[in-house]
Amino acid sequence: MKAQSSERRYLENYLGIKGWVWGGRYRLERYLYTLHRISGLALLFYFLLHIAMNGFRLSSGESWTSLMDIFDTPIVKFGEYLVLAGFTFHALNGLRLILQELGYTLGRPKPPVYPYVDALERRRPIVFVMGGVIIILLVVFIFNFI
Amino acid sequence: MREVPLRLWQLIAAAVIFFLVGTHLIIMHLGDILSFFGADMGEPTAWSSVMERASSAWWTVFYGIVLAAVLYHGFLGLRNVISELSLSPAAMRVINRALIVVGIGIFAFALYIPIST
Repeated sequence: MKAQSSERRYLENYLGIKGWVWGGRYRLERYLYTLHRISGLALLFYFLLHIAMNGFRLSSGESWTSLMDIFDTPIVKFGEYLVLAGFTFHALNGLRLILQELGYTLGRPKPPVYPYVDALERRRPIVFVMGGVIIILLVVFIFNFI
Repeated sequence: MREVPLRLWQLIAAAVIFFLVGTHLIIMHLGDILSFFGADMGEPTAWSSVMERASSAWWTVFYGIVLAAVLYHGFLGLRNVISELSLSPAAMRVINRALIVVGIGIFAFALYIPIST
């Protein structure tokens, strides 16, 4: 009976797919997690498309050159910029997650003195630094596409 | 239990991707910024440049490592997302095997391109 009730509690807390879009009390970090997944899936899709496009090399040099000519449009250039933006975000957010997972961003332990500061708030400056670096890089990358 | 080594290898693949794909993106997509710093890479998507890289063993090894790292990292990430759909263990086994077979197939095809051209 006790096991049943604990299982029910566990299922109530399980967010499932809803957890991908609703940050709840995890706030900003949860939305970064969602964006990390979206950017990851988008990059994987682009990677597979990229391999398929490279397959044109197997037919002839002319078909490759004509494909590159087709891609020389503002829309494709914008798509290229989005790929760079997605990679930059995914890489830097992934670096933050790895550092966090390995315990480098935990900081020194503190006694729980009121007003309490939770672990997410203590790590928030790293999120802002990461966001700042991403914005700077994305602004620099624009110069390559204008 | 085998999730731990899978996850560890995903982190190692992430580090490899960070440097190697970063290098690839800078060379292929940020040519104007590179030439601003005095490093002119020419036209990297021109057929002659593509053939030059394809004939280099160094670049073939480079792209082989990139392919393996990205496919492993990406497909394991896709598997993690799918696993949150609460599918049955039998369905997850089918998906695991399908991802392995498709991943190996794509790796073989993608590596065949620079080797054969």
